[in-house]
Amino acid sequence: MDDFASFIEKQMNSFFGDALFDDFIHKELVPLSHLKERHSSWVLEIDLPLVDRKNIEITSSDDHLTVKAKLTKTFCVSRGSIVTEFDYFKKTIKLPSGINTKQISAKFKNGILKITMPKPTNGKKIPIE
Amino acid sequence: MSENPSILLLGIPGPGLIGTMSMAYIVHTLKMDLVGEIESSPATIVFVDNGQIVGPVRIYKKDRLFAILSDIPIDYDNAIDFTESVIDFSKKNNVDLVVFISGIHVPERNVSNLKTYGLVTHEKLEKMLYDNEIPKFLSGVISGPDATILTQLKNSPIPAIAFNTECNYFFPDPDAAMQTIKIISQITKQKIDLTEFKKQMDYLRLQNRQLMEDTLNVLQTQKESSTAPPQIYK
Repeated sequence: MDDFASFIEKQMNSFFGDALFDDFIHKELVPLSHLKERHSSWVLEIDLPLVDRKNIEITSSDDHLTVKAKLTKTFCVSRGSIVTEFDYFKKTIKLPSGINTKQISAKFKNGILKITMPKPTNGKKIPIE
Repeated sequence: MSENPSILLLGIPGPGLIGTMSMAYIVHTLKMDLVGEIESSPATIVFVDNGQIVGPVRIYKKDRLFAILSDIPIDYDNAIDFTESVIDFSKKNNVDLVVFISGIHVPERNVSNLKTYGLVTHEKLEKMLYDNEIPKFLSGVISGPDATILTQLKNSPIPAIAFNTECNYFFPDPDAAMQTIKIISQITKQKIDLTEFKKQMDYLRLQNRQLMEDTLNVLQTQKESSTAPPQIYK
């Protein structure tokens, strides 16, 4: 590993080794994500460095969406004498209510997966008193 | 300002973690010496390196260049004390210029042509922006600890420049950090080889996930307590 990589890893492990999401329990990396609300859609962005587009799998059920992505290289994290190897990112999120999963679309650019979920356009009319 | 000014670089976790990633690389590449720390009382976190207790906010030096690097987000409650310590240190060490590194959120930015904007506290520094072809941050809003730090710097006698690079606010953004390093290299007239940084860009995004999450939590707390819409840039 290069010098700078060791330098950063040492810092991160020292500060956050125990807190690093729950990566170590499932041996899967939890990616950073951000959900934005737009006028007519929800946009979920997921940061997937070290991933090729062809190795991303998105699945959805009625109310959940799961993204699993294989890393192009095994990512190792050492804590003391224990080295943990990671090969996958995985994240499951609860979908905003009323989303039609058939209309969900996704794009992948610069290592960021952008999933667009159109908001439902039909609903019950609410009278104004 | 003299031909060879004493410069203090300041990098803390913020939007896109630009301050932390760029400063860590500069410190590492220029082989700057650890000369001190900014301590908070009571200390909430320390780490142990080669049997030595080291704090999260450290001061480095090489020749007439100083760098302050924080590995923890500076929250709103600590931002004033932190900046007072920076100003105090600058006075005691005859620093001529403080350079504060951060980012501005630009969602649809062009990653291959990121821009860095400069904001100066003293009019005489505008020439430095002009000479280095750095566009001036003309209008917008800066919030969070950055706002506190900039206000304190503006009110101090030590000239300061803030460099804000277009970035992804929510994820570690090594592209924006690299652009910032280029600007720092230009301003400080220090040659900084980016080869190693380019090789590590994906790993930096992986390794800094937790710090990004912690930083956003700090920024989010401030957003919720704000009375105005939290707008970093418009």
